[in-house]
Amino acid sequence: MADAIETLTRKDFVSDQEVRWCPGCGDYAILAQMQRVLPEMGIAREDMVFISGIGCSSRFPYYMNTYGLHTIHGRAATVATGLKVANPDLHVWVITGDGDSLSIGGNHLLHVLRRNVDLNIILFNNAIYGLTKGQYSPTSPPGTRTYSSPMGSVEQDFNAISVALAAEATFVARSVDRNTKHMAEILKRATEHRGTSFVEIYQNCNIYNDGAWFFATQADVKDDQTVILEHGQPIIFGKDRDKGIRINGLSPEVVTLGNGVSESDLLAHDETLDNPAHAYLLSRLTHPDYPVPFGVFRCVERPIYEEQIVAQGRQAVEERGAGDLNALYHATDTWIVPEGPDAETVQEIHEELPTSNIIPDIDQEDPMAPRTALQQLLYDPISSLDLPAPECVSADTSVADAVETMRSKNMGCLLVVDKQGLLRGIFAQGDLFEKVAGRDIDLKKITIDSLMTKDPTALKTSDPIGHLLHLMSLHGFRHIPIVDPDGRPVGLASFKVMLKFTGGLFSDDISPN
Amino acid sequence: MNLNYSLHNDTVKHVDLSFYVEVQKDNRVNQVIAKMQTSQRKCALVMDQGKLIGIFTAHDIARRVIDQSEALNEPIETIMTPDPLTLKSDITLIEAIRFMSDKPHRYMPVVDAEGRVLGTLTHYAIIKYMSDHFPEEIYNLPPTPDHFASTRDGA
Repeated sequence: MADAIETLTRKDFVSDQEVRWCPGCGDYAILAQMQRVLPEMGIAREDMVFISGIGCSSRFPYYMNTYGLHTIHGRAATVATGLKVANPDLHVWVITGDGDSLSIGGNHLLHVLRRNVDLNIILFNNAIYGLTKGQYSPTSPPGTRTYSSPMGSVEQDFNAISVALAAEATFVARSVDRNTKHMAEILKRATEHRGTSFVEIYQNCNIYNDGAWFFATQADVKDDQTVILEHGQPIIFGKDRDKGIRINGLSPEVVTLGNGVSESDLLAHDETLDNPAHAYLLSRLTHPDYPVPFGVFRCVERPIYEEQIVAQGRQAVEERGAGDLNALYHATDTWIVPEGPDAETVQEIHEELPTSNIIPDIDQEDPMAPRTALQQLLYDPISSLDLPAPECVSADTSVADAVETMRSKNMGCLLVVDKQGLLRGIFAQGDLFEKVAGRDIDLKKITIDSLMTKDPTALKTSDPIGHLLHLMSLHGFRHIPIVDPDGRPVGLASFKVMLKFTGGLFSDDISPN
Repeated sequence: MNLNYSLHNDTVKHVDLSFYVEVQKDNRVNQVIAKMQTSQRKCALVMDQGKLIGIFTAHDIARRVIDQSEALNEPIETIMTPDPLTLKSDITLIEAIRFMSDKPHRYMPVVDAEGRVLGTLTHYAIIKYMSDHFPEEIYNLPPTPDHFASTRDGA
């Protein structure tokens, strides 16, 4: 078998499908390098899967003589994650584009990167939607004129490398379709990396966005406008290799070597730094102010997602035995609806699963623990508070009478009940302050019906005190009616009641706990 | 966070004392009410040349002004509660809570050692201060206690 792998050639990876990209498309260059590099990697074809989303680049799997899946828009990374977890021995490649992965599947890209699933993502960046015939994409710079932005795009574009670094990617690199040697090196590095490899490849769409990357590919200018990152080396570029990047404060600057500037003054590249700040700074070197870097921005080790997931599954089986999916499906809250019109009852299937040792109960309490002041404040029932009896009136009471009642009974508010004695409203000094004070209103002529808060939030005596604090602190309710199970007021909770309760709850003995 | 410890060690300066407005002694009552209403503050401190001389609250409005329309044009000085009780800014919260829960006062001006007004302590601010100690237990509750989940979602 090993011999067989070693003798694989480029041709073994070429499928019998007609390649249907536009003539001259940069995708061909990437396909060619992939088919050139893979035979050198010592991986059997049947162990490889290419997974794509939607777009021109996503036709890629058809042209590789390996396993492949042409999935749905933006979801290649998602399908790849599932495949890799189920079959960790496979070598999985995700082929995607700037629209597919940075717009439609932006979310999915972020999460595969942060999880560090051991797969390789190749993002073909042509800064345009090509398959749909030329709309601006998330990587089209502001001002890009396309069929969907005839006056120039007004959107800030994404920097794919910066996005990947922000998403905690462990391997981040960039190459370009026309530098085939460099691309081959990067593809090899990506294959070798354990964890998610993210490779952005600048790819020319010669039909809808021709020349987007010419600054980085035209022979006469590319050396002055790009820089090849080499681990451990000072960042030097230019046709004559006489320019470099120096750090000034927190900003990079382009300097010319000589005249007192030596290589030791330059920023040296280190792709292994744990702190991504260095890689991020490099990712912000953009055309035309700086040379655009190609190479490996970041390559660090971190535990691999599927290895940890598989290990947890194995541990669970060891400790609790193999699970029964059918039993799980029918564990709780499942029914069989009987057939026929005369069927009487719905038969409930209810088999308890022994979940207790898997998921701890959230309201689990230690019955031996003494009740602390805190537990009393948060969880004891409202009935443990010393609540004043409410003053109840009917809705047709005049405001003048209500004012007089509050005055004589020294109450801050009145509860309004109907003939059955059920709570219908609350009328408080706050209502007088907000709706009556300073206005020309005849208090004898209007009833509290029009001024009260109707159907106010009430709590029951069995509800926890914590909920009173919830309503008071989040909604500012000074008074909260307390009702019996039928809805008849039995008490009136207030800020003051809570303060009094708190004042008595905490002793002056303030041991640390 | 230990609320007991905080209540015994934090002073009234540590809660939000901003729930009040300042007015001048010759402002008319209706001006004061309008200012309180627009700023949604139920407490006005009445000042005379920078010194606190009285207090006027929504409670006073309900008890003394609401059905006395002729009072609206009087200067606030005539209807305010003069020489209000104040709290020193260095008293602890537990002391303030016990003091206020024994008195009818809902609003108490807080002054520093030189007698300058720092703000007004309110019942609401104390409740809020306490709740801030338990955001998970207090703020992350369902709208009604009936909605309280006894198990994790899906379990």
